Formats: sequence, C-alpha cells, structure tokens
Amino acid sequence: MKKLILIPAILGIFFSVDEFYRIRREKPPESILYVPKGKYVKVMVMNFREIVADYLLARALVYFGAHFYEKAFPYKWLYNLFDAATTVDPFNREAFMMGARLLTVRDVHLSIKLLKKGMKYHSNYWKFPEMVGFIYFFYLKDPAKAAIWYDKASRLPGHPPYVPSLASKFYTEAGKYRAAIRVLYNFYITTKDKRLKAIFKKDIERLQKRLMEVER
Amino acid sequence: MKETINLSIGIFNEYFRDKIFYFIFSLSLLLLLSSFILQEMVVGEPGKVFKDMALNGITLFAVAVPVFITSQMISNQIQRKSIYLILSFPFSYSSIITAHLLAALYIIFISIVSYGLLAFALILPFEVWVLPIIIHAFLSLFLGLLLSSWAILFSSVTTTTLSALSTFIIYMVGSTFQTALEYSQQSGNPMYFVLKIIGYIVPNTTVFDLKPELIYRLNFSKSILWLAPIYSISAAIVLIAISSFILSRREL
Repeated sequence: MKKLILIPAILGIFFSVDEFYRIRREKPPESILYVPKGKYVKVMVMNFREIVADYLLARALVYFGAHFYEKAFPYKWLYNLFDAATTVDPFNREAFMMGARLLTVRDVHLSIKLLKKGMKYHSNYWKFPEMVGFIYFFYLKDPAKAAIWYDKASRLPGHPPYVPSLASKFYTEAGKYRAAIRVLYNFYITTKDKRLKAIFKKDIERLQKRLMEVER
Repeated sequence: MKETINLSIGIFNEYFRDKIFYFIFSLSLLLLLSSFILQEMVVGEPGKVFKDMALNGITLFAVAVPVFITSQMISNQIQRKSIYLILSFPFSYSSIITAHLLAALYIIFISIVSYGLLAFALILPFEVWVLPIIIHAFLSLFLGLLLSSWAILFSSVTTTTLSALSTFIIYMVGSTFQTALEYSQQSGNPMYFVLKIIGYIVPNTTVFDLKPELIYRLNFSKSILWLAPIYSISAAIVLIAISSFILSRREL
C-alpha cells in the first residue's frame, strides 16, 4: 500500500516540473533595488575606496548597458550610482565625465549636477566646464549660458584652442561681442603658436568691426 | 499516523530548545532590524528595504532550518544511539523519517509565522502589506519541506556536518540550475535535453521564490501556488521512501 503512494508522487514531480517549464515569468522593471549612499560607503570601506568606487562605476555602466536597447528606459538609479561612485572616490575624473555623458540620456540637468560636483574636487580641470557648456549649447539650446561655461573652461590650463573659439562664437550668438572679443584676446596673448595667433587676431578684428557697427 | 504525530511532537520539543534555532531566529531579527539602518544608508523607494528584508528573512528560515537543524536530526539520533529507543517502539522506518520531517516542518512553520508577523508590523507604517507576506510564507513553507526532505535523506546516509553541507549544496544547485537550463536552451546546446532530465531530480527551488513579483507587484501565474505544494509534497514522499529504505539497510 505504502509503495503505491510512490507512483502518484513520482507522477506529481514529473507533472509539476513540466508545468514549471511552461510558466513564463515576468522580469522585474529594475534590476537594482537600492543604491548605497556614497557618504556611508566611504566610511565603511576604509582603505578600499578606489576598488569599491570602481565596482560602483562598473555597476553603473552595466546598468546603463543592460537597458540601452529598451525604448525610453527611465534609468532611475543612474545618477545615484554615479553619485555614489564619485563620492567614494572623487579623484577619478573619468567617472564624472562618463557619468555626465551617460546621464544626458536621462536628464541633462543631472549631468550638469554631476559635473558641478566634479568641479568642487577638480577646480583646474577644463573638461568639466567645457562639458557643461556643451550641454547648455547642444541639449538646452542656450548659447548664452554655454558661452559662460566655455569661457570658464578657456581660463583653465591645458584647454585646446577650440574652447575659447567656441566661447567667443556663443557669446557672439548671444549678442555679447565685448565678452567674445575678451575671450579671444585672452587666448591670443597667452598662446605661443604663431599660426593660432594669426587666426585669433583675424577673428578679434572681425568682431571689433562688428561691435563698432552694432554700437553705431 | 497518530503515533507518528506524537513522535514528531516529541522530536519538535527536543529541537525547539536547540541553541541553533535561537541563533537563526536572532539572526533573522537582526536582519529585520538592520533594515532601519539600511533604509537610511541607501537611496531607494521608502519601505522597499523593509519589504526585501521581510521576504528574505522568511526565506532564510526555510533554508537555514533544513541546513542547520533538519540535517542533524537522523545522524544525531544514530550518533547518540537514541534511535534505538525509538526503534524499540513499533515504528516503521518511514514513520520515523516522516516524524522527523514533520518536526522540522513545525519549526519552520512557527519561525515563519512569528517572523512574518514581526515583518508585517514593521512594514505597517509604509503600507498594509499582508497578502505578499502570506504568499511568500506559504511558498517558503513548502521550500522548507523540500529542503528538509533532502536534509533527512543526507542525514540518514552521512554525518551531521556532511549532511548540512550537502543540503546547502543541493539548495545552491537548485537555485542556479534553472538559469543554467535557460542558458543552454537559448544557446541551443545539445546538453539541454540531458539537463532537462536532471531537472526532474535536482530540486527546483526557484519556483518558491516570487520575491520580485511580490515586491514589484508583477503578474505571476497563479498556478505556482498549487503546483509548488504538489511538487514539494511529491518530492518529500519520494525522498522519505528513499531515506527509509537506506535507514532500514544501514547496520545501526
């Protein structure tokens, strides 16, 4: 009698396992449940800040990549992940840049927020204000604000010649000719490249003529 | 049957006083209380940490009781020679195994219910979250039954430590096996059919885990709620039969 119970039991296993194979389960909308706050992680990880920050950065990149082909994915946790990674290790400049670039998919204001945070730690790094300027020009269609940020970037060491050139261009678009000339002039007097000096001199003269025309 | 239940109550009383049970209970409480600190330390939806901790704590009982308590039951009886006392009464081997399994199930049930009530009280300030806790507790009870059956089987063939380790390994295999099966199916691997056959033997623990569906309020097939108990009970019957057969053949 007892042995007979085994037959329905074995059939029960086969039946239920087969049914489990048929059941298709919905995937959760987010693979991330929560993101640790950087200020707490920073304290807890002691001397392993860099490696933990790298892990958080990798997590952020995987999170971005995993949903890249999903239409209008909200990327709810993307800023928090980059914020945590850059709080734990604020000296990794590329983390700010990567975050700012990827966050443009979600909200450009969050990109700007992350870059401004980066500027607190790297006040002499020209790429952060340059990137903010680019966001204002390209995404927010605001050349006046873009010019201010390109202007800031042009005052920092190591910037390429296109930075003051773009600052001047955006100031001109915004009708601020004096500011446009000042940016070009600042670069003109500091650069030692004769070819660039000649190009910038021409631009300054062209803008001065235009300014005179406008002021008449 | 009545004798088996009486025996199971006796075994339950013996193990309910076990230190390890209180250790698991304290650990789960700590897990639940740590959600207060964790809630402050992470960015997420309010109450989400509590929900996760509540459901994970329930799963912890369903896994830890078989691994640490059930896996000791038979092997301890053999080592302490107390099994002779039980064998002196007119109990069949299958009754002894069933009584041990029932005792394990009582422990799991009491732990899950008490923890579930605590978790419910902690989540209450955020929302009334009763049904998901009940569904998860119900499925976890059957997960506990399935794992306990495996633990009893290991316990009747090997030592305490080895059976605890084997139970944990079988849980790990059961948790990852479905993913391996899915990958082999997607990649068109010829091993898929072999794996599918192994899938009837390896415990499928993933079906007892509806945590993402319950937390995110996703749709899930309601058939899991009756299929999982059928699966768990069927597997338990087969494992009881194997364990009793092994125990009867052992030279005690």
